[in-house]
Amino acid sequence: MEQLSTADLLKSVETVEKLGDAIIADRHSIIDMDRIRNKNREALGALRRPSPLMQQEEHVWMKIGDIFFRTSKEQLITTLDEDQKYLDAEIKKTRDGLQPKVNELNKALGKPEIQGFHLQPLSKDEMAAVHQMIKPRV
Amino acid sequence: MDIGSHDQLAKASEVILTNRVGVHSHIRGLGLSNEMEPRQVAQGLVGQVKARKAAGYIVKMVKEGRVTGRAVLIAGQPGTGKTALAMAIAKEMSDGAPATLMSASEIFSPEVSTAEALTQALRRSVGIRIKEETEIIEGEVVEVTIERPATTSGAKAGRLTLKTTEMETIYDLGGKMIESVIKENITAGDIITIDKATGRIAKLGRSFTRARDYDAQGAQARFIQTPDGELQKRKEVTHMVTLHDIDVINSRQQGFLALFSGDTGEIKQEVRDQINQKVSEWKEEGKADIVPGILFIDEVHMLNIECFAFLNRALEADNAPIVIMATNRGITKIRGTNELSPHGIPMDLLDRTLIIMTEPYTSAEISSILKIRCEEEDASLTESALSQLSDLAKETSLRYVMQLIMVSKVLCKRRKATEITTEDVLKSYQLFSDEKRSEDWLNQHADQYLFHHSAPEINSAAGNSAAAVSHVEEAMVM
Repeated sequence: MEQLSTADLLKSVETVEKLGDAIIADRHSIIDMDRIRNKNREALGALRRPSPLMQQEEHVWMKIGDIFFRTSKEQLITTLDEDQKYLDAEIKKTRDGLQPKVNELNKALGKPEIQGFHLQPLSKDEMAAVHQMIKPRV
Repeated sequence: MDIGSHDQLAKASEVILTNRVGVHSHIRGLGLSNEMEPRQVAQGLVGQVKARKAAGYIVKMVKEGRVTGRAVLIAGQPGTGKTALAMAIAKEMSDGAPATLMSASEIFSPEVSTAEALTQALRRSVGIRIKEETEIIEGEVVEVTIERPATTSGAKAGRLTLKTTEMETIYDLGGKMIESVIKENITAGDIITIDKATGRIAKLGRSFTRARDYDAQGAQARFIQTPDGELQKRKEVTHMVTLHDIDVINSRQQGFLALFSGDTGEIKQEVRDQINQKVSEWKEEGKADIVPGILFIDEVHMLNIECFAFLNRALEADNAPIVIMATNRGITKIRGTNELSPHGIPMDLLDRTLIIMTEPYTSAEISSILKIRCEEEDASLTESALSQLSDLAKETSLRYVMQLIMVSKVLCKRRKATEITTEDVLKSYQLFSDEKRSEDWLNQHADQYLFHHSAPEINSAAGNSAAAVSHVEEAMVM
């Protein structure tokens, strides 16, 4: 083992902690976004449901946090749809960004990089063809 | 009445998981430190420092994926650890690139031509890494309600409440999903996975919090923790398949008969060309990584001149693995010709090869190896027995002495002792002849054997004369 000065040691621990914090923050934001996405989905489902009560109304009550709003149904549906799209894109972006961060963390820790996650995924047909070979092996 | 013996009976019938002990089963790796320096005794390998270091560099290059199509030759006298080195290399590669171990004679078979067998072996050693991605919803079922309408033709309505440690939400189920839920018998407390793309529901188990719900559970009840994190996860799995696997998938006839045919016959070259093209397309699109691995050919002097010519060409292909060859021959005829050549390999192939020489072991190294084998075979030797075995190894051969360990262990058990002593070793030496004593006996009693030819100079493993044999027996009688 090489001799490390205290300053070097502190610096490497700092780097590792920073990277680790960034990864944990990303994970938490994915969880929060997924929570919001699910709630939106429930709301959209309720708005679109062909229940007789919902059909006749044109303005509906909506609760965000602790506040109640009353807005037009169509406007609400459009806004929620846009929100969902945005959340989907954000979650995908954060997840894509997680992988290089984890690799950097592994490098800083001196662990080997996990292989193969930078690849584009195979399509379903290609995967089905390859699966014949994978199943018997594992 | 006698509780003690009952316990012993129970113990005797206990199923013990045994591993078969093979000649090289004690090898776990190359035994290199972080700086690629071989430790004298590590991971089952002893000594042979230069060869192990060279092997370490080769493994490192393969792991970094920087080299393809190189040839390496491990050459040395019999019993110097060539196959052991190959086992160690294969163990080092176990996570990642494929490593194929074969003996040269396996190429020759009546069903498959030698070129095909070689091609298959080479393509078995090149791996393709691919990734599979699916979106799944994973969570614990809190509540599942299905409303069946009064009339049988009405549409069913269903709601499923799923939760993880961080969140909880309600899903409205459509007709197909409701059928799956009913079929899988999903109840509150189950932990399930729903594949978003296919809509398939899989039950992973039950939640721990529901473990005490019932007093008696079925045999298959599995309890797992409630999943954490988000409900809708992205699952990514990487797989490693070899080029040969893809060849086989593409050339197989459709239908279940293919499953029973096992290994295929010849695969057409057009199929292989198509595969190569497809794989390089995937590589361009970033969908696959080509990972060249290692093909180890033992006893490579058994390959004939055509195989060598084939290898020359194959090593220059794009997707060629690293070929590691091993042989213990000196200057011999190349099989299939009358020409002599070092190691029985043509000079043009030798020119492309990096050669690692293995040297005979010193007596200290032999002692260490014997100690490791004794541990592996679960035999304990006294100090004097161990030194006696090491001395014997110099006169006879390392392999013979390793086999004596097993025999001595049986003799020792027969006299109900726990440690193998020198008398056990002496007895087993007298029971089983080594190669040299056998040859001397044959020469002495030549006229009594049928069809005996007095051979001029037979090369033996540690080569010498009858005098040494009687010297050894005298030393043992003390």
